[in-house]
Amino acid sequence: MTLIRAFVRRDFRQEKTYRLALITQFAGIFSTLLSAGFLSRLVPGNTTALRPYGGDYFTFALVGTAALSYFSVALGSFAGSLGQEQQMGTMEALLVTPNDPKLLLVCGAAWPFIFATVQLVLYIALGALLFHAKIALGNLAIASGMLLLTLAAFSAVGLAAAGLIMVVKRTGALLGFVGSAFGLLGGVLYPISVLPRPFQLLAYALPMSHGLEGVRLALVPNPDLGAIGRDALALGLFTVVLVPVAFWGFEWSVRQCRRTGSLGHY
Amino acid sequence: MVTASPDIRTDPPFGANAVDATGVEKRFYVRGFWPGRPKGVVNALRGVDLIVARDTVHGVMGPNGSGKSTFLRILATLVTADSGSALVGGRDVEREGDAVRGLIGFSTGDERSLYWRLTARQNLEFAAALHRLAAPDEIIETTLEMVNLAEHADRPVSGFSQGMGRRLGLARALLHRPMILLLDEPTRSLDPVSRSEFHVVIKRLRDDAGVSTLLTTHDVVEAADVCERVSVLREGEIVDDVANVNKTTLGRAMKALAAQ
Repeated sequence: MTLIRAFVRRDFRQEKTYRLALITQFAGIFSTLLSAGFLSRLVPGNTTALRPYGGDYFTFALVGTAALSYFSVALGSFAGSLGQEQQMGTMEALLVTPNDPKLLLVCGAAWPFIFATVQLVLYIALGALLFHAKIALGNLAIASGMLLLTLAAFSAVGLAAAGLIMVVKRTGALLGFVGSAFGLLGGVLYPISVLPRPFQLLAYALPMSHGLEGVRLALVPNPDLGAIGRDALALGLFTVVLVPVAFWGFEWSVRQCRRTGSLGHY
Repeated sequence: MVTASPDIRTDPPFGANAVDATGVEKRFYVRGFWPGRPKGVVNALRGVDLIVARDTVHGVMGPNGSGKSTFLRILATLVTADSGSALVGGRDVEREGDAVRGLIGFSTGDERSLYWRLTARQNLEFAAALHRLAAPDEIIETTLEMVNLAEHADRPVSGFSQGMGRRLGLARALLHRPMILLLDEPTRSLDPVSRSEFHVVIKRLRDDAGVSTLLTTHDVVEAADVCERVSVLREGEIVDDVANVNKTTLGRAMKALAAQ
């Protein structure tokens, strides 16, 4: 915990010095909320596809976009923090300390996760307060659990990306592609049931769709616990299989960089 | 005035030598477009044997590209050797990486390796956490005094000169009171006063606390001032080993190197 606290404190101190960037990130919440609000005027509510999620399109889009931006942090923060260390030239100074590189990797992503959690809470709170999103607060615990499970599954993909960035040095375009694929197939702005059948099959092979589905189902009154449980099981399987593989991949990448002498390169 | 910290660690006893490297070889492959098909090979180290005796300052000199930094990075566990063995403080750099990292202080001499948006003190607070130092405030204060940065402790590093950045890098390497210092061109871009102050720190660490130092340098005057022994590296091989270090013997070694 001491190490995580040190990383969070370091990153918070650095972020504070980029005041405009900090303010802009919060301002971005309002523009996303407004976009979802305007979009919801075009989409009729209570359609067959939306009914399982409470029928309100604004709530559907709000949860989708808020969760996508949260999951994107899991996808990009490990590779992002490593890339930053490489670019700043601080990577070797970190790796010459008696710490497991995997631990440093996880600690380095702590601040982005905390920041993203604050943003997520603001998304949902402002959406409910200003745009009357229909959120069943009674099921917040179930929704949070699903969110955490999804985060864990997504983190596996993020860890794999971190391993990749150690070796190939730049993964921005690849992560952008993965993020947009998740956006397309994960059911962010529309339910997966409206996708063509082959796309639906692909969608269910991604943790994103199970995560979003589970969170959304948990936020409607009288949630279908059976359906949520199935999504939780799928996410659990993703996590159990992918996280160890991703950590192994990261370790391999560090060994490879030590061999090629490119730990500090970017 | 620069002073060595009175609380420098003098325990525990480790191997007979601070560094004991035998037959260290390293090749780097020049990347081609296709993976697994390199454009060429650079033989960075060709069987380097080098011993750094305990409580001494040992210099490595040689032209650019002679393998000095690669050798230091192998000892710091940042690069893996292709063959040979290297013990640092009696610990094997390959098999006991964590133990080696706990024994050494490493400074790349690259002031870019600091967090520029943070102050000097904040940089050291973070480094102290990485080394799990308990109650680090006093250690940080003492270390800043050692490198003459105490009065600049709360200034952001972005406003530091190159020399100040270099000294902060050294402070970070010293923070956890390592038994062995590995310094890659530590005085590059330092002004003469800072350079001689740095020499005083290195010698005091050796004399008062038994810290062994292996440093790379291009500067004959520096090597003559601080080193007990100097190894001369050329194209990845030790071509000379100067035991009786002074400006004359080193000058002779450098002339011989240039003539090769």
